[in-house]
Amino acid sequence: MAVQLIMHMPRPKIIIAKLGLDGHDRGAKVIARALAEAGFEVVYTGIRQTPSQVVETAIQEDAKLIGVSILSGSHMELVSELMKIIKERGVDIPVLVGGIIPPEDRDALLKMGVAAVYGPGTPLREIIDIVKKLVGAS
Amino acid sequence: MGNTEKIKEKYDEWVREFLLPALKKVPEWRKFITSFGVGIRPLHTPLDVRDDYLGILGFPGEYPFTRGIYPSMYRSRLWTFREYSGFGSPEDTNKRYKFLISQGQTGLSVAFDLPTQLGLDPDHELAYPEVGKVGVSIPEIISMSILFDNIDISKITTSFTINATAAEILAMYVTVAESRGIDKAVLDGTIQNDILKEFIARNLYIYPPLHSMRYATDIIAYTSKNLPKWHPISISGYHFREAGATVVQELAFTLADAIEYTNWVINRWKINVDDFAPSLSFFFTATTNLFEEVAKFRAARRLYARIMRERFGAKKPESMKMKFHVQTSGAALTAQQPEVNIIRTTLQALAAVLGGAQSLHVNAFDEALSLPTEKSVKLALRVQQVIAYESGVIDSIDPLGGSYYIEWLTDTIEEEAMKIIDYVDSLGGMAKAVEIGYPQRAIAESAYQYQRMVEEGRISIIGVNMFREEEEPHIELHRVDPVSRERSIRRVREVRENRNREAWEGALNRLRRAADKEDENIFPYILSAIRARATIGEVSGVLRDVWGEHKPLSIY
Amino acid sequence: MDLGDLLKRVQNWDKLAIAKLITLAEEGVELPLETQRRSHVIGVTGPPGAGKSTLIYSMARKIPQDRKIAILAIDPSSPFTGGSFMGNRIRMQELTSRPNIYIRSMATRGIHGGLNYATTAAINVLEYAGADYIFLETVGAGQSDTDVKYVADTILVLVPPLSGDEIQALKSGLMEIGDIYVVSKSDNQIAESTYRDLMSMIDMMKEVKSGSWKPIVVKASGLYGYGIDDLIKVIDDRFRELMSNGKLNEALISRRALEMRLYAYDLLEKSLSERKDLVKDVVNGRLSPQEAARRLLNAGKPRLDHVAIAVKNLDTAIEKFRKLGLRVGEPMIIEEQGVKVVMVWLSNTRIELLEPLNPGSNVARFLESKGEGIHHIALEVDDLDEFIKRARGAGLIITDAPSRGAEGIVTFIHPRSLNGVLLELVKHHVLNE
Repeated sequence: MAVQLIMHMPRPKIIIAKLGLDGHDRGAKVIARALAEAGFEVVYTGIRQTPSQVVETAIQEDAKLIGVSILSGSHMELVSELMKIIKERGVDIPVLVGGIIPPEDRDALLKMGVAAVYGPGTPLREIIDIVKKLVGAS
Repeated sequence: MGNTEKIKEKYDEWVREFLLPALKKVPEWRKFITSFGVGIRPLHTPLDVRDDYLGILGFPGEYPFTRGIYPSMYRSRLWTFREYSGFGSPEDTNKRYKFLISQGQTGLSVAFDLPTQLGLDPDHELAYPEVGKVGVSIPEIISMSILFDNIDISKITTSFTINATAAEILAMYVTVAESRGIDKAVLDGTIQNDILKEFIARNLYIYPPLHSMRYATDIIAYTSKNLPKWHPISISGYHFREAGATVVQELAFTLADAIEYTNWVINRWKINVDDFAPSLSFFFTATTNLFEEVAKFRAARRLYARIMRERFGAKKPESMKMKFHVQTSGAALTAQQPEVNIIRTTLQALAAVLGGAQSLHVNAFDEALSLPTEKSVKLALRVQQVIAYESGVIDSIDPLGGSYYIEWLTDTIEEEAMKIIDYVDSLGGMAKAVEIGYPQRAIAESAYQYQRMVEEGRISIIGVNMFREEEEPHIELHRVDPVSRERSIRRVREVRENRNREAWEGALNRLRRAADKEDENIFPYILSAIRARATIGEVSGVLRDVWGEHKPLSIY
Repeated sequence: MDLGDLLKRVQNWDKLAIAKLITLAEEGVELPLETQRRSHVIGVTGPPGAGKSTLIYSMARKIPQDRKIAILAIDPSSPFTGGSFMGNRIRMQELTSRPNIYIRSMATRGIHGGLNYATTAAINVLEYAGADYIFLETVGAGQSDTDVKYVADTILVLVPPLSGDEIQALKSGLMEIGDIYVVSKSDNQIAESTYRDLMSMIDMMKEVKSGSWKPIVVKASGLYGYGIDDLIKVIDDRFRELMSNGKLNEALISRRALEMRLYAYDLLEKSLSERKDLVKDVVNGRLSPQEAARRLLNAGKPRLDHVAIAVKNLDTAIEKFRKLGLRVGEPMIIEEQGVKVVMVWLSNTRIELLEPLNPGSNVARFLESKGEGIHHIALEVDDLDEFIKRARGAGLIITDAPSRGAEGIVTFIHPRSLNGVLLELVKHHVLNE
């Protein structure tokens, strides 16, 4: 049904959000910018987002992916709330988590349905590739 | 022919006849540039050093303090070993403090959790997931008392990393001291209270910039009269660097902030610069780039001395001495092969000591994964002790002074920083620059460029883009006891129930009225509210009502 | 979710449905939007860093929560990668969870003039959804932000504290389009002098500009929340005035025209990407770039203007073409030629259906001798005289001297001289609006 437009065609939209109260936004901003330079339309929400704000943003933007960054150690509480709200709202948007995440917590996050978890030192290339795969862009 | 000409002639000859032929055979294996983009020549000589020893270097303890702020430096007194620490409830953290003191730590440094730093009580909806996570939860005065249980606060110096709620925390500390019969005038320590850098990089602000500046400078005006030994601000470059700034931006933005605070205190409170400048203190990072960091500390002292004397007309030498704390770079820690971080932090700590720091925190090697364990923080303290007691680097003051390379780097960093300070001046000072987002944008740009250089291999990080290992690290990590959160919530509720309601309400009402009156110093009202058992969320709630909450700019 | 369901949910201000419908609209899907009520579309422009999103946030926060507010925030796309870093929400995130507020970030996607088709499509959807206010935050790149005046009912220009010279520099672009100017309210001197400069400039403009609305200068600060109530009042006053004097409809017409232009740009790009063969022909020297462009756009002439079919009963013929799903125009009677005519519209040409009005007419004679079928073919030409000269040179018979028809000047070449085909030649009127 959709007309295929080229330069003016909508591109997959991605939400990058700082979930929770911590202010360490360096990584989130670097990743948002790298994804923009890889051709995505990236909505950066800024800091201090609640799980429901992030989901609401993704809904209003009709986003194809949510990336959250948490460096305060509160990832278990915040991400489980995020996943719960996504389910409640009946939307199907993959979630990436980045931050200081101990290995055993990473497994628990994946079990909650998170698509992938990245820690410090992950090459940007790797993140761009997984995002492309998840939103189905070539 | 003068001596300089002779050296120049010989230098050119060396380049021509020795260096270039050698490079033809074996070329350099990479480009050599400073981290802020200036090319580094292979050799530095007297040609790189300005011939003005007394003017630009001088002697330790004397203007311009390039070589140190005290005449005998570490030969009389070592820097303070001050490991930044805090987690869970005050009981947990108090135990950790006692452990650190037993291991040879000489000062305390409190890490607060995010709700405490943002003026939210632990039972607030937004606070709940974060209680006790990145620091200790201190929402009310009983918690503050437990934090220092059986620690003599009339003797030990304590540094509080607290900004948007600095007044509440200082008020709690003062009240605890008074309850122990200690005169607040003897209290010695620091509150960070540097709100500008929160807007620029650390992001834990509450109120809009102008209200926040009032809050911060009111505290400075108060302590200059009532807590003479206290450092009411620690003007911080550390967080700029953590957010991605270059070494030059770190220095320049820190000094531009110092200029802004000084202007504010002078203009708002009509206090003579010499009456409060001696209490100002600073906080920088140390990365693994040893020589650049040493040069930065030396350039910082010299620049600051000049600014205070020439720009603000300070007369007392005390007003021109830059006292600073150093924390090794958190951003330089890797989650990959975490033990390698011990080597990094050793070089970083060495930079701080060679740079003449007054106080030092060394990061634990596991901090890219979680908060440190007792074992890892002890190792970090041991790094300081090895440098202090075994290495011999403290034997002579400013031992790198006079090195052609170090002096050239010191001059270069100073010049580059001055350009940025001039630019901030042209914008109308740092508060204005922050409102239009200049430093925020500049740092975000540097952070992105840095990351690209890492990706392209132009910056080497062992374990990340060189000598990678696929295997996951197996180390034991610190876990915050989940019970501590419930303890915090229970206690804040107890405090709310067991207080004189009338006194509490009156104090908050008076605070509300004072907040609305521009010419009142806000601090005494906060102190009264805290004494009346108001919680941190209640005090900052009143100020939020009157001043509003700051929303970040859309500047990227 | 089928379209009907989606449309219903959109009218109930279901934000998920609104988001999905905007996505469909920006992909170029034509939607049956029967809008009941105009929204107040407020374009917020001003140089980058002037605090546009901060101001929108402050207004949206203060507008009563029973009013529906939509915010479209535009960020530039990278001309190299097509991606975009969209940070305008940062300032507004607190509003995200308010039931009455919908926020959407949009990238420029390589369009000059500041707006693209997706923006107009989104405005249509939001108006259909029943938004009371639609705030459109432009990129704010001065001169290139020109299209906003075609979609906004009210243009709010945010002027940062500037020197007089700088205001002069701004004047050529932003300063001419504003209905409301906002100067940051502050006690600093530059802000005060900016305010005075603006006031005197507006005074001078008032003498030139006719029309009922006089530009207004308001002092406000998004950052500290000062003056926002006054600003909202001015905006609401302006909307009431637009409603009472009928200007609201004019704005809608210019939005539709812009929508068409922007959609045409999109189609053009699509054609360009699909017709690589034309590019190849230009590269190989088979076509001139100009000719290739005309072919791409179907804009070359002569072109087939229409094919005419003689019918006995127009109404039954119309019925058949309608059933094929084709768009049939209004029947017209052309006395001079004794026919009743109707046009059937195709995307690249038309079919003309002809029914004779009286037995003596041309078409009646045609039906008598040949029965129903193709009556003639019409070519549109640029230069009718030149074409006639060439036809005569080739020995063809021109039936009549050129005469005025319904759409332009026409003449015919006799079928006897052209292999049995009656060929009409048309030169269309140039329509002057």
